[in-house]
Amino acid sequence: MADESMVVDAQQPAEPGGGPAGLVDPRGQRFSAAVSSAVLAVTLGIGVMTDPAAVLLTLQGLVFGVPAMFGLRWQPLGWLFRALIRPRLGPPAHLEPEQPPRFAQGVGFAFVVVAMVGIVLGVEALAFGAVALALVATFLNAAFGFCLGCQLYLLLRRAIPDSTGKSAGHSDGIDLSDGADLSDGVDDSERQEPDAAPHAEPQPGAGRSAQ
Amino acid sequence: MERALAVVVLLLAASGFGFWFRARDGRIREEPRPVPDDSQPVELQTAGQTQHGGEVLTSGRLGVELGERVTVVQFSSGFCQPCVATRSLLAEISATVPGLSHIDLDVEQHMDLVRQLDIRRTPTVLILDETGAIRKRAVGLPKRNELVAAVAAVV
Repeated sequence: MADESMVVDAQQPAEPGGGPAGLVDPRGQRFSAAVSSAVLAVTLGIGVMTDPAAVLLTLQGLVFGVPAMFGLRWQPLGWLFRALIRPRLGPPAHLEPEQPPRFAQGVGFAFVVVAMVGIVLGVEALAFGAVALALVATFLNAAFGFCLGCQLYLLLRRAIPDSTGKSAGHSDGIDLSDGADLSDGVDDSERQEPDAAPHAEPQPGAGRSAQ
Repeated sequence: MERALAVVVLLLAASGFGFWFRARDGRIREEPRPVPDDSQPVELQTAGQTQHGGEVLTSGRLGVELGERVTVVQFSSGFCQPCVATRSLLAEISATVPGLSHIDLDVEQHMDLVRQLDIRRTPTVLILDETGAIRKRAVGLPKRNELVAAVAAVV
């Protein structure tokens, strides 16, 4: 035991400086995704509205959310990988930028948040659906190296109009302030909320606050 | 029991998608040919199915000079892991093919082109002939031999 812990300790100092800043071992990402998808699968298997599932989802939310916000150095599963798995694998063949997996974990975090909202509101379909989507995304990442969030990113980005106002549609009343421009980008939300219709005059407060 | 079954079905479906995606990713497709005797690009539609056939990327539109014989344009984004591999593959090929120039465009800087050319994800690779007409397109990391063959067919 003592020997093993020494090995782990010996690995630790090498790790933070293991590569240039912002680069990560891709095998660690796959490992994190595999563990995350197992956790999410168990959550669905035991019933997403049960108490143990809520605990698991909270933990998984931290596992997704903390590294997404503060960087993958704070990925707890990454620590596990470095301590237990990586010493047996040896050094990685190459390192990858941390931005894509970090973005993916942010997407996973968003799904978990939606699931938690479903649990709190008692809407099982919402909770189940959100966890199922998160499970599919992390499973694809673990098994195929496929990043769902990265694939969808450009489609979402394309839907948001440029500041040049090149996009088609009802932007007339909204060009007044940058803040309102953002809401213009999410076309669907406008349809759902007729109150937020793009009329600048009935909402003088919005215009003022933006200036 | 039903829940466990649902999870299994979900994972099987995801696996099916994963294999399907892997088989299709990076495949090089012929771009629809330009409309003859018409210098205007095919009319673009802003919504729904965009027609991107017959697009010609002049050096003015790209902001850089075209290659002498063939130009390979890559659309990349910061979130994109396969973009890195695609970039080094293209750099490697451009070193071996005389008259080939390799252009890497960040989608954030070229959203107008992304919309006009209906670029849906990164990496997307366009192969242009010496006039700038788009001849082939690959979405995802192209396979090396297919890319070499596609470039050879355009040169």
